[in-house]
Amino acid sequence: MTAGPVLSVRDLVVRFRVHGRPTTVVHGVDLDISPGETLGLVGESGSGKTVTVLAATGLLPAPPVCTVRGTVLLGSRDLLTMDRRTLRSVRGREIGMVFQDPMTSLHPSFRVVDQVAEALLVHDRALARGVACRRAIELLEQVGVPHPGRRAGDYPHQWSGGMRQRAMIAMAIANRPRLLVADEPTTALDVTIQAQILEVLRAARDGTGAATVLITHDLGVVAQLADRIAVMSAGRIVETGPAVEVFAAPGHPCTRILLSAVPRLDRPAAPRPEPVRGPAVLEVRDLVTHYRTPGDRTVRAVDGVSLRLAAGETLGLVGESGCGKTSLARTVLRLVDATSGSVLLRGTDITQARGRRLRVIRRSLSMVFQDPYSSLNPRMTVGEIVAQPLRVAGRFRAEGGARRVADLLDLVGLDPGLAARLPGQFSGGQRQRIGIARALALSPEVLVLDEPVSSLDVTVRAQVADLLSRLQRELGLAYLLIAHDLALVRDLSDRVAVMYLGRLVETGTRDQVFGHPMHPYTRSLLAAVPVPDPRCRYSVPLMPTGDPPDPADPPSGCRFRTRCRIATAECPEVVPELVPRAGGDHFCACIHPAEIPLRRGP
Amino acid sequence: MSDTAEAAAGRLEAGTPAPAPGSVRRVLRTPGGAVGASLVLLWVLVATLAPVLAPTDPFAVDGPPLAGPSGDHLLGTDSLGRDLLSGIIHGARTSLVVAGSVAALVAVIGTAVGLVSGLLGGWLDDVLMRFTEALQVLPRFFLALVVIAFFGPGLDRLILVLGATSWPLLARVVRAEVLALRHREFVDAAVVGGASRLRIALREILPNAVPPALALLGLVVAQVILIEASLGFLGLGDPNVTSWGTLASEAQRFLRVAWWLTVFPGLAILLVVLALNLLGDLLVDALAGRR
Repeated sequence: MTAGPVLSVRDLVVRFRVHGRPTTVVHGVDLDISPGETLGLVGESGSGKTVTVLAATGLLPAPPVCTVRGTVLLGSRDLLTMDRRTLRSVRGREIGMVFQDPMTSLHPSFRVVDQVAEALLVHDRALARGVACRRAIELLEQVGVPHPGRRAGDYPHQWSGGMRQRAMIAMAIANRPRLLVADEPTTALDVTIQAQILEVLRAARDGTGAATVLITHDLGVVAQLADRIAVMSAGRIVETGPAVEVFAAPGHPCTRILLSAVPRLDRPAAPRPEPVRGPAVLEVRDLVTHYRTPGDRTVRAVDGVSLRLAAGETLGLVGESGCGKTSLARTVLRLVDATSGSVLLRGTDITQARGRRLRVIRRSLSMVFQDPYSSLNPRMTVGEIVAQPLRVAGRFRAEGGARRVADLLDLVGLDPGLAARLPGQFSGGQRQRIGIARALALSPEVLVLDEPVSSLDVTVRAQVADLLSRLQRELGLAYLLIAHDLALVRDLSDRVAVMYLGRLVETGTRDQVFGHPMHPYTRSLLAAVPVPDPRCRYSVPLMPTGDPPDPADPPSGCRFRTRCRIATAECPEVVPELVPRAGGDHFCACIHPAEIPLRRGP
Repeated sequence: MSDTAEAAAGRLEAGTPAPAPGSVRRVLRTPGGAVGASLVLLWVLVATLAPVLAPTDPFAVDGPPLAGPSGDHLLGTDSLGRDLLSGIIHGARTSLVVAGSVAALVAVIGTAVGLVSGLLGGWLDDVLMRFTEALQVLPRFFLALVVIAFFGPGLDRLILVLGATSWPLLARVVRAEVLALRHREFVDAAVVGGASRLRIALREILPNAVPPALALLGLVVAQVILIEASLGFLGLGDPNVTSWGTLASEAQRFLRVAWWLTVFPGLAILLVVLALNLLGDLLVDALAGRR
């Protein structure tokens, strides 16, 4: 038997009817996937990569809305001419699929185990239900769900995103498919969980020997798994070749743009001007913020954090989602009240300030929000939005009124003539600039940036990041930068603090934290950032294990010990303090920070 | 009738993304929206210009009794020889006065209750919402009937009793909007900018919470018109003004000999209620960001 391609797509054309006008989305795509091979299908959003695969598996809407032409051969059978019944028996048995959003791709009101068993039962009527359930538990074990037998009664909402994505993979490989399709399988997840899921996918592929199509916009992710790469742009394949070659010498401009958009932690950081070691403008002392949930549990979002931010410097705050970094920022800004501890602005405690005094304090403390679509009032003009803080402070006239607003818009690179427009007429990047102009209206000293670029397109991110750097230089602002994009934090920060489950585990200059990370959490966080080079794949000893624990019920002693690869019997007993290491201003909260080399690759 | 408004409120309460600018204009371009809007416009025009448009005084005896539609009397005459067209034109005025006044009352009370309840929360929210629910289960038509029977017919008391009981739906929608808006980042931005609670309520939240609720007002008004007509039909309308319900009520004795007396007032009610429902439904969908 010769090993012909598992899937062979020839001249695939997909047309959609958009507002009555036919629009061609895929223009004649050819693809071949050999058995056991992993193809990375990459491209920007809207390049047609998902539509190509949905068309090939017959998952697009029926003809009036959408027409598909060409041939898609699975083995020797054409999927496009197959009748629905046969197609149904092929999907799920010969083709397994994993989708992007694990939160919505499981049925919320059936047990997870039953849903995995269902994947077996629909293709094998003779199978007994009990046998299917036992097999489902084995499958869940195989994809790394801890104690699936004990969790047999669980519904999807009781599982984290990472665990649900594991369940999706278990369903996809349940019938040992010949072809495994994963569409942006890790885009909705934290880097640490992403690294775990990619490992699971690799094991699933190796276990079933299935040919795999990995669809993603992130070249770092592709580099971890793919043997061969096809780059799509505007509905066409513009470049294809072995992964190692494409990454080493990208031929097409689109490939180069995609490559340059990947945050590179393996490259030297952008240089930063020598920080002016000014006095502390903002100081956080033993800050604690607890929330009470309706179930009367206490979520320890921030649990004893101390920070110091000097004038004109950037402090980067990193950690997985749910680690409390946003709660910390909201407490500093007095959007939520601190449970205990203090926040000093130029030496004055602001945690107890109320009414008029609080409003005066707020003038020197401002914020840029994450979502430029939700942070601008849709019914106010841009001019009104930017002028709002001035009017509230009663300084609109004193600061020059409309001229001040025009100056602010000009400062952030927007045409002041657009002040009369509503935010709905601006793009995401422009909206974020408006948000920055508003934050600067009262000439604050400290700006809190909460994921300032994460909801923007990759190409716009760099522009907004540059704007923030320029403003800091020109206006001498101090930034508290919260982001999960480690490369962005490295490029913009002077000092970095790493947060885990409400506590800081490591602080230091960016070169100390990124160059010589000491805490095992920092190391695993850095190791989880995928490098867009197939020769530098994840190194397993550094990978974090499992999910972050529940912040309402943190582990005793060191909070990271449940996921730590070097935890010992002492770790549950001792609460590690942040103590200075090596350089003096490099702090780490771990009782034995062993030196595991971080370097990986060839 | 009340089901449509409830369903519409449900769609609104399900949480609304920011309405796209120009969505009202888009609604007016759909066939349903265009028909609804033109009929409502016609109704308002006829009502305001009633004295100019009507051929005669609606109470003036102007021709032979029970004459069918003809060149002299386009829609025929009633048992006393009064012109039916004039009656219907002036009836539009009555329905508009009642609908408009009730709508104003409902808008003010509903928005105020919804805003206070959503913004302040706590025990006040609980008290206001329980009271709202109590009003919602009250049979409004029956209440209006009792009030009119007790105090005698009159538009003023009808407006008061309907206005005081028709706002719960609106209040609940405004409250749901406020709760959703409170956690939007632009409200946080205003707080960080030092804005007072009052300023946030009036400048940030109110302008965003009210439009979807106002769309619902059309559906509430449609119900009010029906109640007013029903009371007139039961003979409890204000005897000093012409109303579509009263016209239809007088007509029932002559159903076999003078069909026009029943058909035309009925048609007027049907068209206005239909138009308000069409428009209201589409606006609710548009402002809720779903079409």
